Amino acid sequence: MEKELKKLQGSIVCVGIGMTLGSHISPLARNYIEQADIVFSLVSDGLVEQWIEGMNQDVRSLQPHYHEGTSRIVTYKNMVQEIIKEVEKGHRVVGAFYGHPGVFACVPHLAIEQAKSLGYFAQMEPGISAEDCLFADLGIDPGEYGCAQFESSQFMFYKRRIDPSAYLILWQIGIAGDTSLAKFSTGADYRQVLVEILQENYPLTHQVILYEAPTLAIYQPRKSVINLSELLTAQINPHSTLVIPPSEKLSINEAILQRLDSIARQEVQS
Amino acid sequence: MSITKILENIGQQSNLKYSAVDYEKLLTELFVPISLKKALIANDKEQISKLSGCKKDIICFISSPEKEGEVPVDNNEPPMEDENFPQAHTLPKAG
Repeated sequence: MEKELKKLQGSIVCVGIGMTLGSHISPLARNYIEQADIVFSLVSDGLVEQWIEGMNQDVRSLQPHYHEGTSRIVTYKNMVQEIIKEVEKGHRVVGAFYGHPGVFACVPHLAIEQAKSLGYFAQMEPGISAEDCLFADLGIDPGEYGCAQFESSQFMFYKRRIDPSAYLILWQIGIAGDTSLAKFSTGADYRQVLVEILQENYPLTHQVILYEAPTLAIYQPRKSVINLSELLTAQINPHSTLVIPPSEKLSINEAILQRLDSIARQEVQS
Repeated sequence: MSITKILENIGQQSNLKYSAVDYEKLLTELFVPISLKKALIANDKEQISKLSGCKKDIICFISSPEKEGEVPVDNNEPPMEDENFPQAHTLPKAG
């Protein structure tokens, strides 16, 4: 009975705190953090981590789980275990993740999935993601030409159909091609493979953008425009994102347009 | 006031977003301590971290190519051309 009660009490809510310290956090996300019994933080900046620590007496960083040489799959599993352990003790647990907790972030999804399967209350609250900042800072509307985005290594590991008439965004370019999932960075040899994949659809002179969202309001976003070939020597950081604008015009699908026109004409007639 | 509280306050100032902004004046108006003000204007993140007592160099990758067991390995067989993709994998939480 007591065990059952504890089970009902335990919960996990994963909130996004946005990308820029102080600028993006929602009142609801902040309130979740302040009211939690335990807060687990996983953020991109030491100052941001410290800021979260100021919101609750019991903030525990998930950072120490990262070790170079350890597969991130193992790291993420351990992070989820640590979170769920506290939920099972009946605590009101909050996971504070930078950006959006559900965008290119597997730990919040896994923790929520696991907590729900065990019968606990589990929820996600959105945050302003790096993607949101990217669209704002670079003036890109993903609806204009369409937009596909992938985690860089996944993009390389699998056969993808690239549409050069749409934007292509590759996240975590700094560890592109790491099959061990255990490196903190990959070098030019790995990026050479990526460039060769991209070269099938884009010329080497195609201009691409290296983007980094600012974590402090006073900083400017990085918006480095380079040729695709320069990707090999460019300064790439763990939080760099590669944005590839379209290289081809949108191609009209005449056959489909004719069919749609035919349907529209039939509708008018009937 | 802690450094992170000051940074939070700075993060909520729309005035800082305009291009022709006098950072120094604005930071003075926000009662930002001189040492922090200098570091912020100089874009010296190392110094800001030092002033706040933040000693950690954060490493954070929160996404991996696939979930456990789905990362390609040498002996992975390619899927058959006509093999269906089980939609249960992509629609588990929509219902």
